[in-house]
Amino acid sequence: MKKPERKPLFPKLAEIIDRNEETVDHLRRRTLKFGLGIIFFFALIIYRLYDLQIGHGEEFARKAFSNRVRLRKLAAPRGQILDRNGEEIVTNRPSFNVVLMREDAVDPETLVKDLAPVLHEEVSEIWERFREAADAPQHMPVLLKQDIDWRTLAYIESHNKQLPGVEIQVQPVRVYAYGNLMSHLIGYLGIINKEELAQLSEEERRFASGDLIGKRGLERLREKDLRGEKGEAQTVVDSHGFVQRRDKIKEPFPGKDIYLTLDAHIQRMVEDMMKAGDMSGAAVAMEVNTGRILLSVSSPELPLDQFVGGISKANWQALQDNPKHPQMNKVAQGTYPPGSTYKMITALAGLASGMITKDTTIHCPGYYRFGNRTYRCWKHSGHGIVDLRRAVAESCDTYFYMVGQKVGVDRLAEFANKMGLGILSGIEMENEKAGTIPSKAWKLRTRKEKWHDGETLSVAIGQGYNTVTPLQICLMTATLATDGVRMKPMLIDKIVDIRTGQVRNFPPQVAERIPLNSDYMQMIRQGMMDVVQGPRGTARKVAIKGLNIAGKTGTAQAVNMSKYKGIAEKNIPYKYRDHAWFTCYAPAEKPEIAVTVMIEHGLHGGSAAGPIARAILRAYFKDRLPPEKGDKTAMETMPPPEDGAPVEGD
Amino acid sequence: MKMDRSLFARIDVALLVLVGLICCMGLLNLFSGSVSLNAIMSNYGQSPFLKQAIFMAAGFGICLALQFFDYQLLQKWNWLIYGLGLVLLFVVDVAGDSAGGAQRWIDLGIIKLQPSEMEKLILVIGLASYYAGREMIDGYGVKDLIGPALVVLFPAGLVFVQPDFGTAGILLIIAVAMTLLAGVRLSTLIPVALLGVVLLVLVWESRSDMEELLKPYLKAYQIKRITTMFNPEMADPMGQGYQILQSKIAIGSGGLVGSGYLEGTQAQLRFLPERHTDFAFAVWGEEWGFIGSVFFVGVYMLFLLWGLLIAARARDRFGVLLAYGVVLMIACQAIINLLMVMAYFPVVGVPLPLVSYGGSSLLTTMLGVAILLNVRMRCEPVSTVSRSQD
Repeated sequence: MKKPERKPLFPKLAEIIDRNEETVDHLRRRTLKFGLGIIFFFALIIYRLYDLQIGHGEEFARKAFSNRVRLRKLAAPRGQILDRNGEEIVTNRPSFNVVLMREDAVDPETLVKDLAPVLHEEVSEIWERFREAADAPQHMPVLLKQDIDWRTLAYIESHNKQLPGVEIQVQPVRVYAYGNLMSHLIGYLGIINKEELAQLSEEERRFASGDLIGKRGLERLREKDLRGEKGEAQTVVDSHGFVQRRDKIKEPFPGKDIYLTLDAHIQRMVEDMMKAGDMSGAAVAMEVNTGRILLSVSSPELPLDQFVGGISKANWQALQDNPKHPQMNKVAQGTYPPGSTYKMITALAGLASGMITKDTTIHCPGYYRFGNRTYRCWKHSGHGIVDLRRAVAESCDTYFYMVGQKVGVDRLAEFANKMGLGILSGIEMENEKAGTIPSKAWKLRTRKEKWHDGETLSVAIGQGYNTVTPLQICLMTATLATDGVRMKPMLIDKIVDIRTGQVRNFPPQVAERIPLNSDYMQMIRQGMMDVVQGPRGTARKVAIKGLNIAGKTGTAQAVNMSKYKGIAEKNIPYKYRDHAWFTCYAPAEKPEIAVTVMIEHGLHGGSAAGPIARAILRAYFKDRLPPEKGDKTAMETMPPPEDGAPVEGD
Repeated sequence: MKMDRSLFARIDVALLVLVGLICCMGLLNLFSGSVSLNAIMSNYGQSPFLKQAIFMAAGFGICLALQFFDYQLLQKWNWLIYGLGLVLLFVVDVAGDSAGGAQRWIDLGIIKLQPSEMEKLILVIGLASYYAGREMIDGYGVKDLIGPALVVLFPAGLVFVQPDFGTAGILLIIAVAMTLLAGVRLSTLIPVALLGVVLLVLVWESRSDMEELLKPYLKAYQIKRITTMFNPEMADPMGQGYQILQSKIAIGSGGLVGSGYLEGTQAQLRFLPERHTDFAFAVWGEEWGFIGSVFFVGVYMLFLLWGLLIAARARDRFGVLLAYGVVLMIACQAIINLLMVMAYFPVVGVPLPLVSYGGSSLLTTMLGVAILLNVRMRCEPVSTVSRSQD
């Protein structure tokens, strides 16, 4: 084994040491020890690299990202709200807000001083905005003033060189084309509060503080559809904040448009009528075969403009203290005794339980005796001999005292619930009230008292514990018109996503089919037609030439106070006056719509509520009806207020 | 010079490859770190990248040219070199250009010379010469150390008042490490080490009174610069904290594989300070990630260890000390710089040799490499070489 003669690159250490140069060898050994030191430090360096890049890599990557990327949300236009004919009720317009980018503001002190007079604000107010934004990251803009006018906008745009850091941001705001039209239904927006933020951000992290959110009405209930999706602008900046490029700009997606089932023109007409007559109450109209709501008026209206940007305490208190309760959506939240409109329930219960037939008659002397008490009919002179049809047409209390006594309260309650009274209809309105339909069990449960049979007589004519909403009476009327098919009331016709063109329709839904002999309802409908068209009907003034109407008036005692008995009605204090009901459907032969009007403290259904219902019917059927004289506007169809006019019916 | 060809056959290719690799990575990185600087630097006519590339090429040329001379000539000319270094340091203190709050440069027209950089190598040569000439088997005593102490204190003092705390520190570290290699008696080492510790503590404790203490000896602006060095947070509340945070973010955000060459946002969007000089490695870390960083650091360590092997096999005492000193000079700068950019060491102005932009540092390091090559080439006694030639 002969080694090749080639010399190794280095002479072996041993060879050198063999040279016996002791002092050099010391150095050589120490040199190698120093190598260990180098290895130690480089191991430390690699450990640190691992720590920074692998251990905390993601954290630093995030920091690098937030170093350079400024995320800005772009507001999405909220969906519009339109009526059944595509009439725009709530839309948007761009508003211009003045914001300050703190990073770019060279000298905030002088800037604020210069800006205050331009914005018509106090210097201290602007500083207050600064303080509020103190916690927010520096790159988040500070809102200085919302919705500036064109002149201010022009000034700021033309002086942007002198106002470093001041920018204009465009934000869509709500426009109410018809003012307070459908105000209870539509509701309003407000700045999202902490609870909403906490609650909503768990579901979807789309909200930020300062965002507007639906606070009431459909704006709240349909928030998800209306809201749209915010866009996002990503700007990459360098260390001096100079924009390098605008990255990935996600366009904001507008919210979906909601088409209501309502008719804005009829709605407006009715709202104007009630406002002009200073009437407080509700009016509802519904397509009987589909359950689509045509009209939903609650008067007085909600002053939407007061709620924009948050309502003041004084205004809120004024609304709360108003005896006409403008805050309440009376269509679904107001509960009133149904009065004589309830007599249809009593009649139906009597017929269905076999206690009466259409030929059952009674002699009405003007009162009904039960036990040792006397129950009065509204017509003190009495109706004489009445059958069911006449009893409905002339609203004879005596007849229905008799029926109620025979049927019993529990049977009445059963039929009332079947017809939609005392239960929630499921309409898209907030805080819908179910009202009260009393039964023996109900009284025992809520009052801890036994039912007295005498109370059944009050219930039978719609007084006593009974309370219902105008919407429920409308549903009941529609159910009578459709032979017992109760529809679910609907407010929304369709929701259109204009981005994708997708249309979501809301087909009619049957809430309940009442399995009854259709003859029973036909008998009641006969009486209801006589109410309007009959010679002695309680709502003869509602009659329209060329249109058969089936209806029922009602007068509901607001309070049961005998001390006002016999006092001239105009002298009774407002809040003790009776509520006036009128409910009807038309055309009587082939029903299309049901209309219910309730005027709070309006005294009599036929005179107070009837004309409004008549106007609604005339407006709805206008193409099929011959013109009436002076029939220009809805207002003129209303009869002039009849002070001290003879009391009519009910 | 008959033996030249044979000597060149023994040139250390491995060392050249390692140095070349580091230089290439350094240049590549400098390009990335200075892309955004080009516009600013256009006033000077040349981009930092181009300048550095030219210096590098020149450095390699000088490196090879110097192989014709035996390194022992350095021992012979030692006092001349040392004297020249002191003169340049003195000149820069009196009439130098200032930048970044310190007076460091002498403008020679073509290049701006930074004598404090050269002084690192000059000190290595000076101490190697001193210890090579005085052999002590049982180590040096106090009396023997007075000479080397003076050799280091003159230049270190002149650098300190520029002020350049980092370089002065490096000079002291070189001196201490070389003295330890040469060997110190334990009876001397322990008291001197204690004295040193006590002195350091005293200086640190009196840093607030430094102004008073230095007043009689220095000008006001020099005192201010020195006090700023010791109390950076007072002078610049967010400066250094910001620098070091951005550096950590840059390196950390590189992750495993890095953001890609020229894609590092910390560097390219100028969040990273001093990215072409002291913080150059942060650019590398961001763009090449953990894998690239370990590769770089690994190559650098191999280069240093290879240098130590050269020292350990040098033919004589001067060669060992000289090569060791060169490795020491490069290693302590590299280690301090790397620990500094990763926040394991305070921010002191120490460059990463061969990577940080700067002609003087590059030139000094290349001269060091030339010495290593020279020592390696002549690692066997001349007689052996001559014999093999016969």
